Amino acid sequence: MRRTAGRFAVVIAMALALLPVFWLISTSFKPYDEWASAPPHWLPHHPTLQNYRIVFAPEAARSFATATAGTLDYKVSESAWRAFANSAIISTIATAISVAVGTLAAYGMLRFPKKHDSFALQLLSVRMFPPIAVVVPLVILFSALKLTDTHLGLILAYAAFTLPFSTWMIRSFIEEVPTELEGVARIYGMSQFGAFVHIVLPLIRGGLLATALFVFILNWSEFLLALTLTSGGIVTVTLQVANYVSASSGKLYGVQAAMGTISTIPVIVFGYLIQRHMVRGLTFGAVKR
Amino acid sequence: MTMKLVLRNISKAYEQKPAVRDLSLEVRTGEFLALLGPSGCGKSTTLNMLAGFEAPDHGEILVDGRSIVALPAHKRGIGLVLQDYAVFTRMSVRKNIDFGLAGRGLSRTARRARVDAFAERFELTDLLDRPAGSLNVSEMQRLALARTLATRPSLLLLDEPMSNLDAAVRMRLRQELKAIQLEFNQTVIYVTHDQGEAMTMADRIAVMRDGAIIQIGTPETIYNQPQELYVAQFIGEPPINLLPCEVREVHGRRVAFVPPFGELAIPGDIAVAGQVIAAIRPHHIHLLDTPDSMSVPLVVEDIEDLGANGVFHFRVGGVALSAMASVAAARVGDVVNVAPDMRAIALINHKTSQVILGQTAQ
Amino acid sequence: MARRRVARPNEQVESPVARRGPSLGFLLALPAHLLILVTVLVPSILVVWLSLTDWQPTQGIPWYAAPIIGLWNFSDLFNDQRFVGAVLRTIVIVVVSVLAELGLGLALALLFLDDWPWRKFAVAVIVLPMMIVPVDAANAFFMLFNERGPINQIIGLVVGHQYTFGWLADPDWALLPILLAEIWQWTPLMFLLLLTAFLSAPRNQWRAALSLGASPMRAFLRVLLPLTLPVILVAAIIRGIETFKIFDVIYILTRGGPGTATETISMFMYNGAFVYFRIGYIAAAALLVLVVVGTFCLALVRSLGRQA
Repeated sequence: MRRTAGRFAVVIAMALALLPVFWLISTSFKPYDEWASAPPHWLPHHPTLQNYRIVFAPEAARSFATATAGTLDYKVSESAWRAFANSAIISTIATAISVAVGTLAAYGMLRFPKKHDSFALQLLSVRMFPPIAVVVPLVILFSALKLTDTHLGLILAYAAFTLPFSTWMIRSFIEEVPTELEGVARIYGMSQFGAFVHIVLPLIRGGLLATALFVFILNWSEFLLALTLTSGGIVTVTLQVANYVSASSGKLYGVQAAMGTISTIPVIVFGYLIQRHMVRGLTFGAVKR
Repeated sequence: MTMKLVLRNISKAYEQKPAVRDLSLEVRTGEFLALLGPSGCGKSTTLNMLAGFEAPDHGEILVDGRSIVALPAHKRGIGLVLQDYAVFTRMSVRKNIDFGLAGRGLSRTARRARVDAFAERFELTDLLDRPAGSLNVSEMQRLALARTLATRPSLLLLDEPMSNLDAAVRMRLRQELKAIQLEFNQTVIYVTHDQGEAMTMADRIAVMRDGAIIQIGTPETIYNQPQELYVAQFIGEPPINLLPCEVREVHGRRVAFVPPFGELAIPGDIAVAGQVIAAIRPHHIHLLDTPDSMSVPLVVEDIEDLGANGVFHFRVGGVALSAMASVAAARVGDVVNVAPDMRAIALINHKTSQVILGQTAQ
Repeated sequence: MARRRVARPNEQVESPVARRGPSLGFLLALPAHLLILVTVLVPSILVVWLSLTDWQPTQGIPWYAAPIIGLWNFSDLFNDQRFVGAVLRTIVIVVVSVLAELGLGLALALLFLDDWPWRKFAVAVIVLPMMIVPVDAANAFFMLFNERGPINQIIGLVVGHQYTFGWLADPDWALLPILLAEIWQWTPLMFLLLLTAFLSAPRNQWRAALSLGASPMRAFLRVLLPLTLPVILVAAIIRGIETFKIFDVIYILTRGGPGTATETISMFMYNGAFVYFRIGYIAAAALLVLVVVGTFCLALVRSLGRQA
């Protein structure tokens, strides 16, 4: 009896978890007249790919604009391909840098601990500040360095802000490698760095991949830095989604939903791939399965 | 007399793989029953079902005549001591022992008295105020026993509780457990894979394999009259000797020819033919000073020194043979006269693994 | 570089490492230090400078020539109702979210303690909200809470007549969709954490407690909870810190409105800097937040480090 009640509660929880996502996907296939219909349609009565076309093909966007909404803000009458390309480039490179730098730092922290070295904790505290607090001067710094609205600027910022995650996550993976292995390698004449490259790195391959995917997810989903460090030249997918919302006072539901659905797919895919490590990542390596 | 515990046709499967198959068992009040078998034979699953942590797919469990299958674990009054003791690491030893006494209507003084009594019984008095997590392995084991027995459970279940202890501690704890069991007339079900332990402690042993009870009986019965090859092999240290032999017709009688020793007469009412296995325990094989009609000269290949006695290893027709005798009887390389006690040979049908002719000597 | 020396079999291999330690260890951590230096430390120093000025870029003066007003910014901040309101609102959001996520996560974890055929699938579905880009999740909630959206439709079915309420335009209720979006997205994390904690080693202690006669409630409170409390605490703190920074959801759903009804600290600073361009003032606010949050967190981390 209690068991069936429990199972029922689980089903409710599953339904609640799915509801917003379901609504997003469903709306993305709705034609214009069903976007804000009263009563709302849970499933589109006349499903269409129109919204997706508008997102990706500027011509479709413009013809849609003239046909229905008058004019569309220039930000959203551009194709979203650019946004996806930007996000992909920036996220990938920033991830690579973050993981590389973080791995070196993590190994350095673990194998060469200095008595008063609080760099590890400093990194952690980087994550504790509201980014907005650092963004304001960062914008000034970047504009002085001519880094605003550039790929490089965002890449550097992303790499820095995900460094705590990558460092701590990799650190928790390296901790699982016994030091004796490197000790044996050194007895055979290998240098410390050589032991790092040839012994430790291969052993944490899985952890490196998981961390990379995790950091990629963080970069891909990032919004605030993209918003403040760019001025319209570079648009990431998150920015594009926000543009749809603000450009039309939030009335372009179908198109918003289409953009939202596609932009979240990579995160869903990667997220499930590293599902086991999500907890480790989000708690900075404090909790492992 | 009502049985303390009755299991009737219990079965449980995990994802198509059966863990316990059609198991039936009756345990008397005050009996010490050992569930003996290798890992994976279903003994721990049976224990879980008794304790209430898993539900049987089919079957009935009765304690004192009442069905408990629908009863949740905490209402069963069944004490459980697990292999890792699971003491409450954050609580003091005293709180551990006291934990199960709550809500039983005992006065505070009575509770305290009982805690002190059991602590003393298990040599934990000096540790009463220490956190349970700081105890060593044998202390934890004693604590696990103390806190469970303090609740006077109707049934005590133990899942390989001694496997992490060293020999001396094990012996002391075994004695203590047995003493308490007798004193309280406590019904105990003891799960183990150590046949020596089962033989020493149990009133009855249930030998299990692949989720079923192969044979159940007193230690003597299990030892001297195994009904199956598996039981014969599992019980007894050093392990029983197995010699392949042949059934022949000699002068109108059927005999099993046990090479190289001789013939064993087979009574007429037993149906057997062809190849069989002769099983004989090492201490039923004697080393003679002078040869006789039954003995065969064999070379001593190896001697396991057990102190006063030793296990002598021979090879007979390519098959290993071991005998128990005083270590002084011979040295490696000597030729000795080996004679089995033919009445102590059991014949086993090697296809069905059933014992077809039990030994007649004890 | 010193000639590489092969260590003898019994020799402590650590010593050659420690001797050459500083150089390699320093090099390994160098890129990280550089990155943080440029993107975090230098801006932090800038913040200190800016907080002492009243720089407003709209006035056309470059930042290094901004008028210095000393600590006036800070005193203005303390008297600024809008700022105080933002701080209080943020604290409320953090407390409510974390408690709700913990409570719901706990309830869910308890439902998953035993095993049944479709359990793995159920976990995968419940974890889905964590895998959604926060901006898209906010987007979804934006549409759900639309005046003519499904939420109002369901409420309408319950109360019996048509219900059109502009959640996001109502100063009293606009926080609700925001809270729900946040809780929806992060409860699965708490759920996973708690489930992991409950299913690990303590399970035998839990079983022992039950067989000693403790009711599931008593076993949970006296045995399981104390054992999992450290994990819960870490989770709550980390989640609290992340929630404190909440921005994406607010920006998409309300921009801090209507008025300032949903303005959190992050939103306050964003508006102040990128809408009103009062950079000096916001720099002071940023510094304040940095210092307060920083000390609080460093103290926390140090105490946690001692525990672990």
